[in-house]
Amino acid sequence: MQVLFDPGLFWNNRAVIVSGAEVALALGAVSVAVSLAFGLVGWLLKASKMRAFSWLGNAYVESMRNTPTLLYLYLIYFGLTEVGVTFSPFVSAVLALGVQGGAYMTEIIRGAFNAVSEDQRQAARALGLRPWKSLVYVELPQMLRVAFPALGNQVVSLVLGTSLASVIAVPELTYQSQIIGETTYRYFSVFAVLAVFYVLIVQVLNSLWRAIERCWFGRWGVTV
Amino acid sequence: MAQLAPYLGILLKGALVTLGLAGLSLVFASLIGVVVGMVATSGFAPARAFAKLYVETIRSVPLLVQLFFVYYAVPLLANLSPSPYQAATLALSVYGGAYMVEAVRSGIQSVGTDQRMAARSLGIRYRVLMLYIVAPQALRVTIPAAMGIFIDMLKGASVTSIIGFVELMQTAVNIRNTIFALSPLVAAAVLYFGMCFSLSRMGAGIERVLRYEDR
Repeated sequence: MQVLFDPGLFWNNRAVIVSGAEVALALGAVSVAVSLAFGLVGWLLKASKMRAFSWLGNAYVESMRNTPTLLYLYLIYFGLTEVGVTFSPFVSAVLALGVQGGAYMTEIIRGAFNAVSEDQRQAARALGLRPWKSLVYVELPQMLRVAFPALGNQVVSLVLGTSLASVIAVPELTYQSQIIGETTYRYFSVFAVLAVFYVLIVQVLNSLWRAIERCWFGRWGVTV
Repeated sequence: MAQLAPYLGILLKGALVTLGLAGLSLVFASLIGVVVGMVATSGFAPARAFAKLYVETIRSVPLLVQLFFVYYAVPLLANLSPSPYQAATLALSVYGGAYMVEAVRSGIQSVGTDQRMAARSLGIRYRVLMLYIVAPQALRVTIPAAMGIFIDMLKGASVTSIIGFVELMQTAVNIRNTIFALSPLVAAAVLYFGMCFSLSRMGAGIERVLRYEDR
């Protein structure tokens, strides 16, 4: 029976693993940004007073939330080539994670906006703030406070989602580990360490998020 | 679209396979959830720490990596060779189980401790207390959450295609590789949406019925 755990394996492949982690984090970061953009558009649609737009926003959120992420990777990477649109694996993964994460972001933004009471808006207007100033100085800080924990969860779930990009050959952490596993057949070492990597990334992200929250909103107490 | 017509039967069968996998895993996940959920709310600190470790680890590792671990790594430990279906069921159960633990835990904790103390002071035994006093009230919180988890597992079942289990996702990809069109993937999307959306509507309905104190 072979040695189950082999630390040398990781030392020998350290360059590949580090680059995989970098790609995973980069993919996660870009996906978060793209999903925020989609989320903003989704929320504007959903909050629109025009029935057609709000219907469209609802349809977007519901259809994204009720279908698997993998489907979007395949649709964008393999499916769109059938109709003549080709994206690189990385861009496909960003679009897939972004467009689906956007639906969750829509709900997060909507929840945050609704949590800031109408009184705040009226008070800001009564003090002579223009709507955009009221948004920037009064509403957005409070929205961010409300949405912050949910945003953190969404960031984590997007980072975990990047592992799926390995199926379309984005050279991220899971993909690199698979290759090391296939060439050395040390599957146990490779996947055990891969799992530890993800746990570490997620725990670091979580504590970072909590630290930022304490630093920015600690004085505010629990509620807005 | 016309190209797809002869394959609609297989696609539907794929959807049933997905439902079957997620359904069976849901049963196991619920068992894990109830057992570990009770451990997580017990008074024994090391047991609580174990439950927390399980939940946190599973929730911090992508489902795909868990599947790889079960399918490729665990067999090396014990000289097993699980089929993709077995590996998929195991991984999905353990994955869903972690979320189920949280659902059960929040359900149990939604029942006030005063009720437990009252029951204990009346001399009601732990088993009777859990079964007849805590469980009926905890289920109001747990069941709606469990519906959400089931939807998540149904979507997660698509990931099992990567270790070679042929369910709806893989069926759609196979058809796409035969007829080279966008339509099989779109059809799969429609099937996934149909399944998950009706489940989430059902969940919302159940939640409305269970929230009886608001009426």
